[in-house]
Amino acid sequence: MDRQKLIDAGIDYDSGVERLMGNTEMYERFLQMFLDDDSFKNLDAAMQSQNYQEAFLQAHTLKGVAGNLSMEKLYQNMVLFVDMLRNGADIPGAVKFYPEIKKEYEDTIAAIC
Amino acid sequence: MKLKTVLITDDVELNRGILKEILKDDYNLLEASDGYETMQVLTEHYDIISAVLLDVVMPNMDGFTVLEKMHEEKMLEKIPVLLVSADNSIEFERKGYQKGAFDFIHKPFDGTVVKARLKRAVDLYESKNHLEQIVEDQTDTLEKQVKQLKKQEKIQKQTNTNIVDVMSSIVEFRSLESGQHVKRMKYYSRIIANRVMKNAPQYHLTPKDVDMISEASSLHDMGKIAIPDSVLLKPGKLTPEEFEVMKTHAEKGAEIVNELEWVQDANIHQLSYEICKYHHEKYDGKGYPMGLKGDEIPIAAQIVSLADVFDALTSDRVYKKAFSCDQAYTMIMNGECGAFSPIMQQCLTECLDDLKKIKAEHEDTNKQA
Repeated sequence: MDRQKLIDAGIDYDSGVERLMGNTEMYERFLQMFLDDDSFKNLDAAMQSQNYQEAFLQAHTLKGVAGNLSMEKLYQNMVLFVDMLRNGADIPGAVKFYPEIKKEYEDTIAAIC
Repeated sequence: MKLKTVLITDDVELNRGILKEILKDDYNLLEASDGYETMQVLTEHYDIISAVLLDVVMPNMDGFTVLEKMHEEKMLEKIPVLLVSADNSIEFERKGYQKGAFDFIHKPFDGTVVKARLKRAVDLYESKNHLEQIVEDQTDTLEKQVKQLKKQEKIQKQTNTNIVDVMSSIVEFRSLESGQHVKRMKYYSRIIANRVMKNAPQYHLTPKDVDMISEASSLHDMGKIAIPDSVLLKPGKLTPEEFEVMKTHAEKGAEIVNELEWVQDANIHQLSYEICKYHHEKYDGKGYPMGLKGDEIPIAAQIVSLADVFDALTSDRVYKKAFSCDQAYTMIMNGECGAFSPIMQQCLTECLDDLKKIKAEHEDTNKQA
């Protein structure tokens, strides 16, 4: 994996490794696993069908995973996004914000691949 | 050292994977991916699980519901739960604590923090459970010891009773007193002692004292085994010299009781001694062997003395026929058989009916000629 590419995509590579107590190999393996994680796919489906309660749950999950993998930029955006969806606080805001989330997710995926 | 077991729950495999990676060197790990599975694993492996890392947002059954169920099953007393969530709000933590969570682990995880929190929870619960086990064990041991002591006390009590029985049966055989006499003495003494306990708090008698006085009453004439047959079994009236010999039975009885000191319970020993030695003392000081007056005479001796006089009057003797209970009562109240204290007289008056009942129930079967 290209460390610089990951960093450029908003992934805090060093902090991610540190979370796993310095195990670089392990960290990269988990980044690889992220490609198979369904939470974004589920989030996208929920947003398309305007099921915002489901979207909240999926966004919450994605937020957790992104955080655990030190995907800083995606994580920060997910924090804002989740708060918009929480108890339907700001659905129009979330809908407006969503394309940015999607782009962020795709950039992250691209950097890992 | 054997690794402890920790249950990791999270619906996202990636998250479980990270936790596993962080913890795999320090713990045996079990996994569950939703609330139902979590409860299933908990139920199956309850005995070996040292802690649960519980994800809050899970499909089917969420982490808070799992906490409630664990609380209902009383699992939270033995197993610490660390709630895992990306929600860091104070409301969330408050709710978690209220439902019995021990601590929180926030996403994103940090390996060092997760390890430290988990270790603290496991260690604390281990020592807590250990302490509770110790307390439980010690309580068990104490209960067993108390049981053993009670058993021994019972045996000791039985032994005391046996000794008293053996001694009093010796007296019976030797002096040809009837077994019924000994029985009546026990009942009379009990009835009178109970009355004294109620009427005269100054003597501080307890129900246990009443029991012991009743038991020890059968020893009152034990000294008679040391009286020569020629005097003890003489069919006619005793000469003054013979009567002097007869009178020594009180002190002789006390001497014999002294020999029993090591086998008798201290309280009953003291009472036995007093009863043997002083049951012929009179309230006005005209009794024997010491000529004690008033309450110098121990209350146990006063009680047994009254019982003895009542029984002697209402029984046939070689030299006299039995008086009726009413006659005997009148004679005692008139001081014809030596003086009794006003308290003892009052007690006799109040329990005369009860004494009559005993007398009727325990007549001598084969009366002496």
